Amino acid sequence: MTTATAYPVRKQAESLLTLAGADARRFARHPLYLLAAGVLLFSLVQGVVAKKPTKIGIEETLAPAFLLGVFGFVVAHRLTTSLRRTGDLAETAPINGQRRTAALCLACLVPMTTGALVVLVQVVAAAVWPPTLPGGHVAWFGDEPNTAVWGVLIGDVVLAALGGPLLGVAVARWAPFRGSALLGMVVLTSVAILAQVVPSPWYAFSPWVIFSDAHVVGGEYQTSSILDAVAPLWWCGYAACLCGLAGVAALLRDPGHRGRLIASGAAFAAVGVGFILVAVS
Amino acid sequence: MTSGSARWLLPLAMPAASGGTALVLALTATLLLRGGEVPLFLAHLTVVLLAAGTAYLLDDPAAEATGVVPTPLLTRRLRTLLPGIVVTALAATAVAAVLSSGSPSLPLNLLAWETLGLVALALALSSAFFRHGEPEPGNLVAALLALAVLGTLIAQPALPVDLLATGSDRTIGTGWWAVATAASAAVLVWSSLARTAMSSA
Repeated sequence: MTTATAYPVRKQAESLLTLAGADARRFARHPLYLLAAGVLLFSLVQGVVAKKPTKIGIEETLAPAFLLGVFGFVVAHRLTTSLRRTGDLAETAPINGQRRTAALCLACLVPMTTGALVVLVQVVAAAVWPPTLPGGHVAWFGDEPNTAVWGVLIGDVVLAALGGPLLGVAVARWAPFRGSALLGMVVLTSVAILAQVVPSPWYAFSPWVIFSDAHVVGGEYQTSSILDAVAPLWWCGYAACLCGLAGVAALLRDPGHRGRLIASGAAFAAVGVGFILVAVS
Repeated sequence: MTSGSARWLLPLAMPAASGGTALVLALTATLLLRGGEVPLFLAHLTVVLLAAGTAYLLDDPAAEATGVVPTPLLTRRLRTLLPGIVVTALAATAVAAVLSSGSPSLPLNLLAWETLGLVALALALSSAFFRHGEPEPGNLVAALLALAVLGTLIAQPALPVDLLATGSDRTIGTGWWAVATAASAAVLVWSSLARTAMSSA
């Protein structure tokens, strides 16, 4: 019997939150995360100073999704594999592998919060200085339904900032071999790119979707709009379920609570399928 | 297989694996997009895979022990680097053949120079991290290289020039990649010689 199983439930929750706090601080202090957050901050400040916080509407979700989602994938992967690199030290802590993984999953709320703040700043700043394009129509509040714009911002930025790191934890737990971070990054970006050639609206099955369409002349954007083949807000539900599946996959690597985890995974999968079918209908 | 040949082949595993993955990616994209061209973004991903595999060639988990052998570090590294670069070159040739068959308008000449430059950069970064005490820099350098290339591709529209091939005339010339390759090779050689000097001091 381990110390963890003899421990009262309340104390287990407290120790999990304490460990999650420590991992969250490690995440927030990681050089790659600081670099990504710094670039985002610079971009936001530059946009606000130029009174153009979002020049072309929702097209600009690509940069925060990459900086928080893909960078976050690598940071979470390295934090997870660091437990293997310091195995002798990690094994002395009175907490099992599944709880350590759960703490790392909770630490992924750091990039998600950053993504939420980025979206908030953009929306508030764009309310003061709305984006304009020569052709008139911009994929933003005012020209597009509010629910659609919020759906794209939440799905493509906030949930990408959560899902990327969670996937990093899952990949590191199941495939800690050399090169798995590189392989994961390439697969993640390849799927998002290749999804664009899948017939509409089934590209929505991709974990990250480009919702916008733009008319460009001579390298200058004329108009931008949200594609109406997929409902962004319903797609957010699908993306959230993918995040849940990534978390469940990470936790399944260790023994314990298998039944509950598999049931949760099945629920996420079923609900996710429901959301995506509604989103594309 | 003797232990001698295993010792010779093991360091080539990562370049071979990443080269193979690049080939699979190129083949998959070409087959899925029959009738259309492979997006340049995906072609760049194959370049990243090819270059990142070479980052593992300098990994030496027993660096503390091997640092005291009489054979110079540069000589020991060349025994791994040369076969590794040959493996990468073979994989790159196969990838280029696949891409050119399905996507004839891809700027393969520019992509070849990018691959060469990024291979040299990966080796230089690995050597620099190794010199600063990281015995297995491959994982870190491979991830950093991929992030740098992907980030550059995304940020390029905001830059005054295109650092990576886009098919436009804003792209920097192959001369810059030749300079970057030479500079990276110089860093690799210098850090290998400097490390040898440190261990013999």
